[in-house]
Amino acid sequence: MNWLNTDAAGSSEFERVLGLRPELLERYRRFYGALWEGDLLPLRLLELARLRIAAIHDCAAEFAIEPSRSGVSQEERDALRRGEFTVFEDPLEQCVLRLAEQLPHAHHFIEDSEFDAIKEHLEPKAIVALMTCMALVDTNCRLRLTFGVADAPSRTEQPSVPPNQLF
Amino acid sequence: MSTQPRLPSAVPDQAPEFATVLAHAPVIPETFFDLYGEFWQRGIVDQRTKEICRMRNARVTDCGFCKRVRFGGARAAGLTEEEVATIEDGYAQRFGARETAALQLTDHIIGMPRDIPSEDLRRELQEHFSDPEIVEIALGVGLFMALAKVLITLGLEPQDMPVTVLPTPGS
Repeated sequence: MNWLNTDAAGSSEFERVLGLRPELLERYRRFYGALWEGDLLPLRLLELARLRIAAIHDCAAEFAIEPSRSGVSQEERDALRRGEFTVFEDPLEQCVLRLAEQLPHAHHFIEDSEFDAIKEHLEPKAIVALMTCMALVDTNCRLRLTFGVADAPSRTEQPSVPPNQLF
Repeated sequence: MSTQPRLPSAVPDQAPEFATVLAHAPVIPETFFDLYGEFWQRGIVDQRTKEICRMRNARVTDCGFCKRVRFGGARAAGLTEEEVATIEDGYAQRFGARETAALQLTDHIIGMPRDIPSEDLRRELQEHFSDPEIVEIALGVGLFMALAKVLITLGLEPQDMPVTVLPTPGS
């Protein structure tokens, strides 16, 4: 249970916290939600990065979100929680997970070679979306932990559905 | 780290920098600047307090661009270079209780938050800020940190840049 006094409406506790500033929440939904529309890069890649970053932060509230459209299995979720990447054989997924591993606490240590590797697979539009989405997932975890947002399981199509939902 | 852009500009004849690289996915700068303009121009927390938190993030996240940029609104509200220079460890001795509480919330978010802030910090925050103001500061800090990380990881940090005063976003 979060430590703020909020009676804001919302489809999740995170929304009810950010809903204390409804004009900002509305715009944040659009910003974050645009990344999950699926036209910038495959949702599965975003979901792998999201789950790994949630696991690094030990953020149960972020990890509890289960987007049905992402195509990530329970076995893969468990592997990401443990930090075991051997089940991910696709070279692009390995590149994404290497970046996700560093973004929360070692963003300065991402090497040019790691970036060059991902450029072999993704066009600039997708890379910009990937880095932005990972950075916002990192922020979401930190805000959930700071405010004490509860970790109720949330089954949804995607983590944010603009303009009305943010899980 | 890299101070060489890792992606090209999406805008013909313009150098790769934050706006021109994000322009590869136009919906990202479009929705971000709409949010950021609302935050800075129509927020309920004063610009000076938010700028102090932004500068603290710049130092801890170590964003060379963020460290050298100042926003005009906070300047106009009286934030001086001497004060900016003191937003380092030990800042509690230089700022009042209200701004110190905002800086401590900033440090909590951009550190390694495993839990909610201490009872003392929560009490201090709620003594000086309403809950909507606390959310505004926290979301702002999250945005400062996130966009700094995007800028850093895309290699868009300047090699050399003087302190530069920019119009406050959304103005």
